[in-house]
Amino acid sequence: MTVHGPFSSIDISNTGLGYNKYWLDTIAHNIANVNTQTTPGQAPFRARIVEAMPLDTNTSLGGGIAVSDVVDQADDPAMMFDPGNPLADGTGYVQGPVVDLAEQMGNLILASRSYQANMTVFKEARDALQVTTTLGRG
Amino acid sequence: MDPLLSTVEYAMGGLQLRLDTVANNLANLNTPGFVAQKVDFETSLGIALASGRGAPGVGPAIVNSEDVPDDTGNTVNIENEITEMTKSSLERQVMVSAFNYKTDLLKAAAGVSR
Amino acid sequence: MLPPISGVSGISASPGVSGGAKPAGFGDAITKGLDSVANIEAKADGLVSSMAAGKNVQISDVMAATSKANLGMSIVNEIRTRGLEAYQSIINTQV
Repeated sequence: MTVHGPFSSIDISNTGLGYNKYWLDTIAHNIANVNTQTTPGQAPFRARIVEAMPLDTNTSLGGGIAVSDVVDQADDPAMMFDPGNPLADGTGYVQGPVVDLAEQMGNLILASRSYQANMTVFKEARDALQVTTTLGRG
Repeated sequence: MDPLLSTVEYAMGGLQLRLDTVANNLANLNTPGFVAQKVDFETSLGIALASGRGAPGVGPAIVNSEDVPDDTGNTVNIENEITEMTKSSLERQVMVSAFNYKTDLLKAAAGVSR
Repeated sequence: MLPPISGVSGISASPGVSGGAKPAGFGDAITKGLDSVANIEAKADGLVSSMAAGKNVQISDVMAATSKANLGMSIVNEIRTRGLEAYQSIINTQV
């Protein structure tokens, strides 16, 4: 679907809604797993990072945004000494999740505000076009 | 009928069907396995216009949309449905205005006083 | 295409009217007006059809074209009405 048509500002803001919604869902998943532990040696929980790419076309008018990739956070997991934990290995260590709660909370606010900003554009564009449909018709 | 009136009438029918389809999609927002549908009347209309006809003989097509399913197999995306509804509503207003434009013109040309 | 408005061609001075300048321009003005409207109408129709078929046409362009066509037609009709009135008043003038 081309975004260049009579409703391009609506379509473009919709790509922003889609992207930020996806980002919000991903952040929610990351935050939900902020305490997910695993046994050392197994794959730790890794936060998902959403990468964006602008949708350009060949004209000067852009086409919005899209998810280009989703990658796992690559840091090393923290090891906690917790011998009583059923997940602990022979040395009594448990593997933590690879996720930074403070970073996720920051992203949460960013994604939420971005979503709302795109919603504002959507509504303004809709209202502007609404007026245009009355052009010349009194 | 004037060819433009046929065109506009066909488009208005297609847009109404599109709005109905959006309503159905949204009603099934949480139905497991539900595949969202969309309406395509532009393709058949474009073909008819290219061959000099005002409107196609076939009705608009209802096809499955290509949205990504969630883990229950449901593909309904709220933002996309709202977008489709907003655009269809605006376009329908333009088509109504276009219909009135043409009937006003035909009446004026026939000398009918308004 | 618009059918021509009937009766317009009758609005020119009949040979019997003495001293009256022949308003030969009036019929021409109406015809030219109708041609202009037909032109705008064709453009408006094209824009409406393109939008209906999902092409890249702006709402403002469609609304402007249809409004101009209706406006042009109203003006031509007004000229015709006024012309007929003038013709009637001339004909009915007591000499």
